[in-house]
Amino acid sequence: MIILNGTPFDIFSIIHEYKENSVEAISLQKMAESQESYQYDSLEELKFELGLRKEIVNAAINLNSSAFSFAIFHKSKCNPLYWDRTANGGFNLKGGVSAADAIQDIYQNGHKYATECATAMLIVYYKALLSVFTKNKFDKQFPTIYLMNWQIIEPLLKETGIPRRQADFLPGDRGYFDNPDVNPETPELQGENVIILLDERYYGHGIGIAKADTIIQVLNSNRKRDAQQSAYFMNTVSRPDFKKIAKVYFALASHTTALVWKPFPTPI
Amino acid sequence: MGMNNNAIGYLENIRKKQGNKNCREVFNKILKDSKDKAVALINEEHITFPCLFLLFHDIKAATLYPNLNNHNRNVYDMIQRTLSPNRSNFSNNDDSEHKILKWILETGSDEYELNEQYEYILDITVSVLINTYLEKSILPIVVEMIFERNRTGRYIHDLVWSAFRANHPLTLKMIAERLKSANKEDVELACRLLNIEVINRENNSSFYQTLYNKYIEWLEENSPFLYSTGENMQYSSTPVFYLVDYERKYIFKGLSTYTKTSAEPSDDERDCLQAFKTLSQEDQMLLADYSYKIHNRDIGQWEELIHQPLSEQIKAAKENRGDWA
Repeated sequence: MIILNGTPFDIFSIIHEYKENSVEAISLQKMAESQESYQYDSLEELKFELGLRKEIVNAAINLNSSAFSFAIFHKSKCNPLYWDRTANGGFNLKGGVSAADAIQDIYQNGHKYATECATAMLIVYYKALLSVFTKNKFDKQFPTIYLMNWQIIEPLLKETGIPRRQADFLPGDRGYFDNPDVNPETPELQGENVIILLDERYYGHGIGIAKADTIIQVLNSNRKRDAQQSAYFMNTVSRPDFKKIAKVYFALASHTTALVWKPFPTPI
Repeated sequence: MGMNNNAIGYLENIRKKQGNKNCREVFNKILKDSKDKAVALINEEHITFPCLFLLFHDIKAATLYPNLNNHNRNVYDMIQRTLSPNRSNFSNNDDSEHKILKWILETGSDEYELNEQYEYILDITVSVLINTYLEKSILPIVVEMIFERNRTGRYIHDLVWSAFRANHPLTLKMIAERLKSANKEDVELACRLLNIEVINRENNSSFYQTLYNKYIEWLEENSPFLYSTGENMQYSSTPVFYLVDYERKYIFKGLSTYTKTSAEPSDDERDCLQAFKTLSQEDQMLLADYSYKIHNRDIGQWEELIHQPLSEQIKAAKENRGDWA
């Protein structure tokens, strides 16, 4: 159920604004049919979430189409024009560089980049935010960016690193396939982070866009010799705090400086 | 030069005292003068893994492989195989492989100047030793590596994953030791790995000693009931590696494996457990803690307790909550 300003909201008043089977339409339908109460303070806030979910899915599909490749952290690489590679294999935005240009470069010059699946998820989120915020607002909001799985996350994206049990899995959510009997020689395949797309498909960096059974098959083919357990989709997902991001977005859009987020911590 | 008389090998001695670059230079100079002498130095009893790794490309370039002793050939093969893009798996369950992997770690764990390929080999070595050979004796080395690397911002996630896959209380105890460290990074990492949220942190040693004491007390009580969640740093920014199985704690049926396996209760206990499962998580925790403490104090009293109606048990647990603080 969707609650708008404390009142149940009928999605039929806006669903015609979205294409049939689009990310927005599917998300709206799932939320409306859910036992969970999805609460919004305004229609703009709801529409902002739908728009950002669409951009997350687009960013995942586009990253999959780019030349961006998979590598373990010890062998990760990035374009030194925009990023400094840190000792643990993460990427730290260079000083004086536009964050928007640096994120865009990953998509345009993917062959200069390689990392693991969790960092790819963060790249997807940043790209989606870039699409929604546009360059100026994005640069203003993210003067620093550090990309290295979930360990140091920009405060505005903190919730993307914290999987929880949710009533629904919605397009744009981040899920995880666990591989409990992984081959000890390939610990990087202990699991696969994925962005939930439409039509029961997922984007996982290194595996690509696939249905659950294919992802499980890939993980299962990288198990130890006497493996007993199959890989499986964990019943938790993480998602950005859309309301928090919407507030920042609307504040930036109206040129106010009422909301100032903690500066991003210095990377290790 | 005294090649074989020192407990530390000749090349390793140079490496330690003059650095990796000088060690390679000296080795290549000797190699140029005499292949036999170079081979003899590599095959010295006290050669270490960092030394062999450092000279790996020189050994390869000079095609010294046929001259290596068996041990060094095996090590060479492992380096080659691990660094190969299309590498084959280790043999697994092989005594000599187990020994060599252990030797790699024992002679190579305190080397932090070599490159990321070196770190990668150590990460895989640790993973295979713990996951395939169920080797627990290396846990102190692994924990030391985690904290040492963390101080310089190096990659630790696979080492952490392996350390927790050991499912051994020693891992938690050794991490807890770091709560008392004078190094701020150590303390922060220890808190993260043990899921300790410090509110109103005080910057004095007695604060951290108390934190440590409380954690150890908690661990001693809960260790038999812990189970691995399988969470890791690839999955979450705040992974919870172990949780307490309150059902087991309630009926005092511990396990040493850190796995989530259903307890095998007696018929009496089965009924109690069924009722227990209907409680809220908060009440389960409260009652399990109370049950544990009563059991430790007086088994007869515990028998009486778990046969009382559940509401009475909860009531007793709530009434006595303060007594155990």
